[in-house]
Amino acid sequence: MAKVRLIGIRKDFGDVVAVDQFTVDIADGEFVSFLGPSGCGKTTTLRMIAGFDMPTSGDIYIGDALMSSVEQHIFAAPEERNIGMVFQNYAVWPHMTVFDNIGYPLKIKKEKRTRIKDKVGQTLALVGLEGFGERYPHQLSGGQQQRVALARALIMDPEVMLLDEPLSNLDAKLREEMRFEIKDLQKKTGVTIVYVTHDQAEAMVMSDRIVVMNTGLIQQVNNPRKIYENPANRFVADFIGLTNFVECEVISNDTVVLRDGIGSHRVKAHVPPGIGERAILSVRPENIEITEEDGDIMGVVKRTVYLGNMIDYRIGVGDIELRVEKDAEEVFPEGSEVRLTFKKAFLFSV
Amino acid sequence: MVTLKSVTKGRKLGLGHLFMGVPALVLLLVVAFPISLIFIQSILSEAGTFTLEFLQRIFEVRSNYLSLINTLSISLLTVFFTILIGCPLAWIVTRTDMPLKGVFKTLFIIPYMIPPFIGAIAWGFLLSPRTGFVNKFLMALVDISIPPFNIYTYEGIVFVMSLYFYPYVFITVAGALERMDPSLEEAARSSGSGRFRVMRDITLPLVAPSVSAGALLVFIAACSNFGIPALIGMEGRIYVLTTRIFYYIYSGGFEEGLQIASSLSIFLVISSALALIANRWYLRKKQFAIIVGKSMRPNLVTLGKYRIPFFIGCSLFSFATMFAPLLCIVLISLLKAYGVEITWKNFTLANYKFILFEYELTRASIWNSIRLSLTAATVLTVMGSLIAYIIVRTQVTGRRILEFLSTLPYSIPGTVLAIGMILAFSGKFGINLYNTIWILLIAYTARYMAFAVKSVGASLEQIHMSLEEAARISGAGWGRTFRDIVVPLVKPGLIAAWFLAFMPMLRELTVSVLLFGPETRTIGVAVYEFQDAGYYDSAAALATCVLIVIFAGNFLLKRITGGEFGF
Repeated sequence: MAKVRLIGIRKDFGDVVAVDQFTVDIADGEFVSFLGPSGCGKTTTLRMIAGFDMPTSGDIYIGDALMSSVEQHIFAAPEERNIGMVFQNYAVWPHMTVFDNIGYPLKIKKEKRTRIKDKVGQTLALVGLEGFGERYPHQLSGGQQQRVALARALIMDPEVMLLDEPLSNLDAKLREEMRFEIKDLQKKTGVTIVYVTHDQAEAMVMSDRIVVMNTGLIQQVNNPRKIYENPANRFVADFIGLTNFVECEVISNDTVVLRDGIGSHRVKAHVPPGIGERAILSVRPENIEITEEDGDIMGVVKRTVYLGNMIDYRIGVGDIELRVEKDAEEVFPEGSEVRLTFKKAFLFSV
Repeated sequence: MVTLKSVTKGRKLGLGHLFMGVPALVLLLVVAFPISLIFIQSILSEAGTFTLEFLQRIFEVRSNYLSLINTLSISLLTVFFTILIGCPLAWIVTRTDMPLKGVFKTLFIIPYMIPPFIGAIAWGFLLSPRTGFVNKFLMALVDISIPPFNIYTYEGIVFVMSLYFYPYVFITVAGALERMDPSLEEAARSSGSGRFRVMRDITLPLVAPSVSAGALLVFIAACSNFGIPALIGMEGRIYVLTTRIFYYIYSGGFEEGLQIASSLSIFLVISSALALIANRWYLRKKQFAIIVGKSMRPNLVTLGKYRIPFFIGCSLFSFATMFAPLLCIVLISLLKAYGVEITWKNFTLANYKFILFEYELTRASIWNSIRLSLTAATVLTVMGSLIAYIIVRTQVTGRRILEFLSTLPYSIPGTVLAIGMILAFSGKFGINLYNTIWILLIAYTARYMAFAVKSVGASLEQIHMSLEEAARISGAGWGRTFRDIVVPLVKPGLIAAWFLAFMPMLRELTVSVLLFGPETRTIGVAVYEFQDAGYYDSAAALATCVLIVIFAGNFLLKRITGGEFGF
């Protein structure tokens, strides 16, 4: 197993900068997700680690070996990197049986037939496909094909496994199951995993650390909890989980006035904005306290949606609307006047 | 509720039957009847009992036997060479970074648009032993007295066929290479395979079914082709089945000639059927589809220092196999006489004036081809659309038979269809259309009906049933829905079907050459007769006119359908 280091990676496609200033150290045995909307450069970065795309600049190390460096004219071909890769559409070869698909990397390494047979058997068991060896891919379901792809990536004992949105073609129930299975496989094998996804829940459940990306740039790198609770900027706050954005003006180091003067509020700011500047306040729905009497901000309940374990409120405050989540113990009916307190909020520059 | 439902169902069925009746009757009369006659004629004795005597007897004549062997061996060799040409070209334009590969992709398809008999004429001009341009040039250049090439040989037939049929392989293989999911190859790279190993283990096995499909089309085209073996082979007395059948129709005496011709037709049908079976057998275990819905960005091979050599190679190939022959035809059409020196004072438009305005025979054949093609294209588009609608949109029993009958005349060699027409419509059964324009009209309509059924059917399949249902819910009846929703949506398919049938009919040769009469020559027949009789300049001028119409028509079709059809 190996660590992966990406230093100052940049990738241009013609005039378009797909990835820029990408520097991340991935530890041995770590599970790291690249998370972001489509077109943010996450897949491009993964393909550069795999060796399918060549960086425009920057260095890539796998273990201690320098795999790619424009400056030093080094570029290892994909087949020289000992990387396992699982593709979004599985890429299971339709003209080979399951056994031949999974055994292929060993065949390339010219392993003995008996050894291939043993190892394929073990790997089939590992992914729960015992007895499927002689089938052809078209006889398998999507989930089973996905397991074949996983087995094929695992069988070569790769230094690193790269997974490119591997679950996006599966149905919701199977997707949740596979999240845990992939995580289990990683625990059993200890392999370093780089996982690309646009699904925040997937990244949250599986990752040790998440690299949030947008427009080719890293927005934040941290563990799931930190990313959710301490978003580094407006993009991260918006992309991960739900949040309310309110325009405001900064009146002192830790106090702001909400846009239309509906109240002043003390907040913790990431980067203290200058006094008198306009800023954006971000507050998550569960971080708004809602009561009948206590609170700085007055509002009116516009809509309530009962979600079982909680109630989702839309509260009108002046001419803006805030989303508030609260447990279902006490219900504020639509039309009633309420008071709000922000328990935890962040300031971002406009 | 129950009554309502049964009422609608009853009406639908009644309408369906009425609606199906006309095309079904027509197809039975002009397709099923003539084609079954060929079989009946060949295996029933005069007393009406089953016999293989006719089929055996034709092989007592050695030339007949040789023509079968030639058909099979020439077709197999052509398949071999078309694979050899088509696959590398397909790979180059889809998987490398060669400059201008998009242009070459279009160029390599051009031979597909050129009628093979015109190609044969052009190569005759270039490589005929005494007067061919290339031979004359080489003989002057290195001072030899024996012409280095002779096109009028067995090898010459294979050569010209390979150059005009390789696009079948090229198109199918390029399509497969483009649509193949690139991650299939990437997965193999990640598994440790080098570039060439990936090609051997993944790429080649995955395109193999497409190569086989292209090869099948080539084999059938080569078996069925008349123009190339007629214009190249008959000069050297090399016969294949199609030319042998032609020979018997013209010099075998009507009754006996027709009898032998239909027995030979059986072997022509069997040859193409065997290829079909071989293809099925080869594909039996390959039930996979590599076709992926979305368009893929294929992995390109960086040619590096080979970029320019590849480019030069492709340019030379295009020049030698496409521009040189076409230029040659145009050049000869503009010369005062075949064989004169190429100087400014020898250029003239007299040949065009002659064929277009002066010579009654060519004027009549142009008029015949135009009215035949216009009428047949319109009739078959209307009927083909009706059939396509029945096949795609209704549950009427027997619609599969309709589909089979409507596409059969295009799947069998044109020569066989023509023999069927002669058997059915030359007076034996009370209808005598032989030597009239009607037998050609029926043959043309039947032969190209498949184009309308396929192209309109494909358009219909893309229209979701709910669009029609929404119209019905909105209050439109079945007819109104058809007019307001279905017709506008399939319009590109209708236009394409009309053009796709019209253009090949305009220069049709294989069927026409067996069915034309003294008053019903067509353009294809006229070109063929000119060339056969040695009026090369007139043949070249008429061929040039055909080429101009073909290229203009293709351009027009591409414009009208927004690039969906045409090249």
